[in-house]
Amino acid sequence: MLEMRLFLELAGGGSAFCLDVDYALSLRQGPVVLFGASGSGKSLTLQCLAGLVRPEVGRIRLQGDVLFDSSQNIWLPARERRLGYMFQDYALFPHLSVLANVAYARSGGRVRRPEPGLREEALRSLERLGIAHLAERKPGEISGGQRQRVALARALFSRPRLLLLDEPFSALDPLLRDRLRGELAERVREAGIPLLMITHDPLDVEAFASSLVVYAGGRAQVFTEYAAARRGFADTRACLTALLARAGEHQEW
Amino acid sequence: MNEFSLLSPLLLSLRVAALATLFSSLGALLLAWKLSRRRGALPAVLDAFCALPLVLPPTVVGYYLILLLGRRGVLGQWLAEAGISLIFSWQGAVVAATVVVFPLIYKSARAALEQVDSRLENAARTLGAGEWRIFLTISLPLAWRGIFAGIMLAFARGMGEFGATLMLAGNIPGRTQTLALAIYDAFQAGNDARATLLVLVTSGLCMGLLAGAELLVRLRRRRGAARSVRVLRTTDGVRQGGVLRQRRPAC
Repeated sequence: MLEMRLFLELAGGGSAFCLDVDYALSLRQGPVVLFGASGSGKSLTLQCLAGLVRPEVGRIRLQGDVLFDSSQNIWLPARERRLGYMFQDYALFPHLSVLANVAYARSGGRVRRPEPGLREEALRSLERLGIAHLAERKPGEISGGQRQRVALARALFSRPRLLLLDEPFSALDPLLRDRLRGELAERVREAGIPLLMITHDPLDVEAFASSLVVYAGGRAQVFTEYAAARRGFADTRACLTALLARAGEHQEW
Repeated sequence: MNEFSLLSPLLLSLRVAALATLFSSLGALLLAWKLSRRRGALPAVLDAFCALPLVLPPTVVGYYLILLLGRRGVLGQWLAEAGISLIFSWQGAVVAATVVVFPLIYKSARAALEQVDSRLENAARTLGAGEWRIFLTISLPLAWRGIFAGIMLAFARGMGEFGATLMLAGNIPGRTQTLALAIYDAFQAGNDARATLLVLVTSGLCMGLLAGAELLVRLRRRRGAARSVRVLRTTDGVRQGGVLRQRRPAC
């Protein structure tokens, strides 16, 4: 179960942005997708959940643990939240090898040369993704699709209780996207870790969403069963356009 | 002019500059790390304070240090009770040089640390790393080139420190007379031959230092480039070709 109640005002560059969301979702029934245009507040929500941005007021509860509660002055630092965060451009450490990147969460002081046991484990996780032969390369020396796999392996290696994906396919060329969508869904299912993804791509929604949160202008509307919301629409795009319009109305109130 | 009189200021200068650079580096790095990406009044004031020795005349820095560390100074009285006197000692020269070179390391370290992509530090945070681990394993390795340049500059500046050293440590041959002071001394005494020799030694040393630093940076860069060429040869991916083209201008 994930409970989010966030209020946050950002003043910058003359235009103020206000994030104001309140919802609760089950993570058990399948992947959660936060959908909305860029600037609608979904990235900010993800950063609040991960502990990288602190909201002014609100409460975040994940699987019974309070990560943030402004009324009790609770703010769990990012490093204690055990959330696997895959960044939009993957944010791989450019000075470390692929293997050292993957092992980072558990390699302690031996970042460049992880201990043999850990090294083996990291190699096995690279093998599962079919990129063990890249272990000694630097992130700058591999392709975009390979980088995404490394980022996924790195996030999973920290044994997270929830995987957060920030626009996971937007940095890839369109031809690759389709193949990697299926692959990523498969790996995450295998790992058995609940998934929360943000995207502005309707194809991602179609491929992943079990429940859907639609963002517009800093507000959010929840559709606990995407499949039910999708019924009656000719295609994904038509459905999402209608849902966005509804979220927009909501915003006008 | 005997051999000893040349060697003594040379060794003292090297010792003073090395120790001053070491102490300054530790302090400046910590402060640059703590103050980088901070906004607000206090960090801004601290930042200006750290840069102050860069713009103040060294004699002013020396005067402040005497007020602080002199026999009747705030810290000086306390140090005197412990049996330590920094005035007119080579340790005093180290203190003077440490303060004077501090802004050079601080400024370049802060700029280099702020250049590091903050998303990488955030990625490390979500992977469970504490702030110290992030600093040591992500920020510092990625910023090393800028920091190293600052450290080299600080060492060279420390070698040439004159004003603050003269005020605090004096100009005692064999004890606190560094190269810069010895040159002034020889010139004042009309010993042009000695002055010229000292000037040449100092120039050669500083030139060598800067060239050595440049070479070191290039060597590391070339090693990185050689690695990507090797990668290119062992694979036939299109992507790697792009990497090589990107890297070529760097070497």
